[in-house]
Amino acid sequence: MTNYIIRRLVQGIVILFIITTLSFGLTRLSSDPMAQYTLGRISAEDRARIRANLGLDKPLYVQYLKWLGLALRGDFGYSITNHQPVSELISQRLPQTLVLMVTSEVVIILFSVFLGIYSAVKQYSLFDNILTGLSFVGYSLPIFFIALMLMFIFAVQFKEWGLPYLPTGADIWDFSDPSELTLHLVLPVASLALIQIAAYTRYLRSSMLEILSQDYIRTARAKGLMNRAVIMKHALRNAALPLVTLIGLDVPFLLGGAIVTETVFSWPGMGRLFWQQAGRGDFPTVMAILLIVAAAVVISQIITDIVYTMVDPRIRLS
Amino acid sequence: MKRNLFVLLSLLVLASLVLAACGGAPEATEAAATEAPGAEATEAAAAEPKTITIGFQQEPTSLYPQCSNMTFAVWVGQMTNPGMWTWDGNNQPIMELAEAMPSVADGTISEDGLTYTYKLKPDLKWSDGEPLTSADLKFTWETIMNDANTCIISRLGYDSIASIETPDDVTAVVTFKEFYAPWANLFAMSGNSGSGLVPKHILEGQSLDTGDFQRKPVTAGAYYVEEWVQGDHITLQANDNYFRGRPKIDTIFIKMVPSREALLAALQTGDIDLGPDFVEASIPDLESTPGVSAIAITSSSFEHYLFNLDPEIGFCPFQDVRVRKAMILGIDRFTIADTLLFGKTRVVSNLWPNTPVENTDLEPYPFDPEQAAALLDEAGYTDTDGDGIREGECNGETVKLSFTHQTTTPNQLRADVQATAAQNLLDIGIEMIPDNKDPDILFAGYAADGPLATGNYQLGGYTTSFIPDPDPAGNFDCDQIPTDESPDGANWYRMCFPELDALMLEQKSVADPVARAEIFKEAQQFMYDNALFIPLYARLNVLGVGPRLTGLQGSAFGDVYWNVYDWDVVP
Repeated sequence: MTNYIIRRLVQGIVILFIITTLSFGLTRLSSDPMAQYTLGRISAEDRARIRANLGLDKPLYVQYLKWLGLALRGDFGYSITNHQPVSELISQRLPQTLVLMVTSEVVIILFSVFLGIYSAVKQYSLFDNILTGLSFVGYSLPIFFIALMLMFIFAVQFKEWGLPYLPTGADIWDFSDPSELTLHLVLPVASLALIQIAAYTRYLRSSMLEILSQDYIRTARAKGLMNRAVIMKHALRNAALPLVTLIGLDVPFLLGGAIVTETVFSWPGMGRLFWQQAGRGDFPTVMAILLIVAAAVVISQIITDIVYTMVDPRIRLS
Repeated sequence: MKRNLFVLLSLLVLASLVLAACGGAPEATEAAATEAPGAEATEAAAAEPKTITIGFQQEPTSLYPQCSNMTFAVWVGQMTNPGMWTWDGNNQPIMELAEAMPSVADGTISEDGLTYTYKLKPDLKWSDGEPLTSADLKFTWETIMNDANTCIISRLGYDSIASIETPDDVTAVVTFKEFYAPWANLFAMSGNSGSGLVPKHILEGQSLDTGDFQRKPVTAGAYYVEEWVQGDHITLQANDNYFRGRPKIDTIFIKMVPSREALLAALQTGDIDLGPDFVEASIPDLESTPGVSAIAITSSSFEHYLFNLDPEIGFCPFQDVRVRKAMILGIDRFTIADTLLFGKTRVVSNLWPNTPVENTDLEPYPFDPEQAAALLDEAGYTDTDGDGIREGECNGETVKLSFTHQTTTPNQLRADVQATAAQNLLDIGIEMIPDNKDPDILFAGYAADGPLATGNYQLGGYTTSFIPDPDPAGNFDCDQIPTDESPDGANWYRMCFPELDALMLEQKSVADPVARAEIFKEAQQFMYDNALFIPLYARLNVLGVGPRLTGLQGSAFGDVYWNVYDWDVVP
């Protein structure tokens, strides 16, 4: 086990190195960090001075090695647009993103487990059919549409109709006030969750159906176990395996945030930061976020593999 | 410690959401219901502070405008950080920290145009109560020129200053190395660029890069920055030390609302009172939203189509003035302004619309397809092969009047205007093929192979402006055509007309604004007679305004923020 983890970690570091090289190249070649400075009137002298200050006058590989050297020491450098440490920009956004994304993930898991089991157990019932229909609708809607519709109905129209309404997110509110936070979380979480619940319910339903027709389930029932115990203790444990894989894939992106949802609901998260700074050619910030997410992917994959062995004793790591 | 707090907080939120999920909708609605009466109570109590919220679609990179190229940063600067003067609702200079603008008449501009005497208002104070003196003006220049401040973007103009003397607290004598015609742009804020003063007592011996000045500057404006929660909002508080007296509104929140759709919704719900940076196409949406009105400021920015006038790499028929004139006559710019821009703007004849140097004698060329066709016939372009497109001889070769047009995408208005223009031109036998590019690609520099910068285009299209100073920064100068040797050249038109070149050189050496305006008018006449571009229309600055906010007066030079001290809220 220990050997296995060490081997995976070494592999992970090599992968990360390759990822940083590729993304540094792509980030730098796809956008010109000087573009944002050349929009206004600027003299050739100013341009040369800024290029030198940003280190852009050096060859690309020198810039990369310099960046890598700092990153290895945990220093992501300075944002070239905001003139402040990248770590400062990221640490301001990370808590907000985590609250939004973790809440959504929990809501997604709770709802999809409950709905998945229920519609598998009541296969072809009215509920199952409606849910199946709805999940296809939900899964095929683009998130910006869901988000804007939710805002239009529950924030704009409800207020117009004199009903209790939810905030648009464009108001001034205090993140550290739990009741305000809860209120502001409802619509963004709902937007993020609707699509994912639609997808995950399908996964869980089909794997649950498969398990429920297995011999050991019949055996469990024949032993006289209560239906509830059969489903929750015997079936779910096995049916949840594909869900563990999916959640494992999700976890690193909890850090990356959700660009569209954060944009629509004015949520100050990492997704928006990434999108905004990428548009401004701020490669130090973009690289830092990419590296954090990439590292989280590598680590969460290792953890997922370990969790597998716990959920399913038939799986052995070697 | 902080991390623990967030774990705790997230758990709390999770718990409450689980509860909400179990209990269904009532949980959430109850909380919202308790909010609503609170808001009403705020309106009822007269003693409550007056607050408004402005929704910014983009977050400034810095709150010191010299360290940011963003208009959003300039707007914060207009509200917080005054310069010597700004430009009012009629595009006229209005004094801020200065007592009066230097002029040749009263001797505050020397005969040779190199020495300017600035007089400050007496008893000026920074928002922290410290006195603001001419030493701060000198320090502002030193700050911009100091290599330690790497965030400074443009030193244009400031690098022409040789020295600044401060004989007393309210007098600064600025001496230039060479004559700098746009001197009025320096130490001044307009709606799209500028620099207010920076405080010597705070920043002396300190780099702008390391301190928190860029995020929490001490300034002398109607408001000062109390807090900037990055990614979320900026809080501006009324400045008791402001030279015009405390402004009427107590607190201005600037909330970052990156989605234009969400901003519109928030204007409707009243979360936002002012939303700048809408686009022309948003006007019907704004006007049809209950409680929201649209302000459309006719700006000095102009949309124009530009011919590549390079005789070597440009489209050969564009060398003929008759072809260029026929294209202007052939495009129905009036219908474009009336329908696609809802009649809120006008067709322009020149590149200095709504500025004091505009040559108002020049009427836009009419829409006259017949005259256009006659000009093309005269130039020798006729449809000989019956395909509907004219052909003719150019430089000894047969050329079809068919070319590409590059403007930015995605941009619905530009696409619609382009489609109208293409159809109009087709009617007179000219084929214009859209070849639109992402702005990053279209405006990329010479080294990055940008089509406009390298001249790799036939007909282009974009917006620019020459304000508040009319100097076009080399846009039409022969020696500014970008080449391998001088890749930063500003003349993307690749035009070289000795008469125009001479006028552009002359305007840079005249101190008297009236005489200088005459030179610009002459230059516009030359451009008009030679049909050097296809001027389309003056762009609109579109803002959405909620029902509470009053006192806004927009202008091309000052935007709406120049008189923030006069804004108020209706009870």
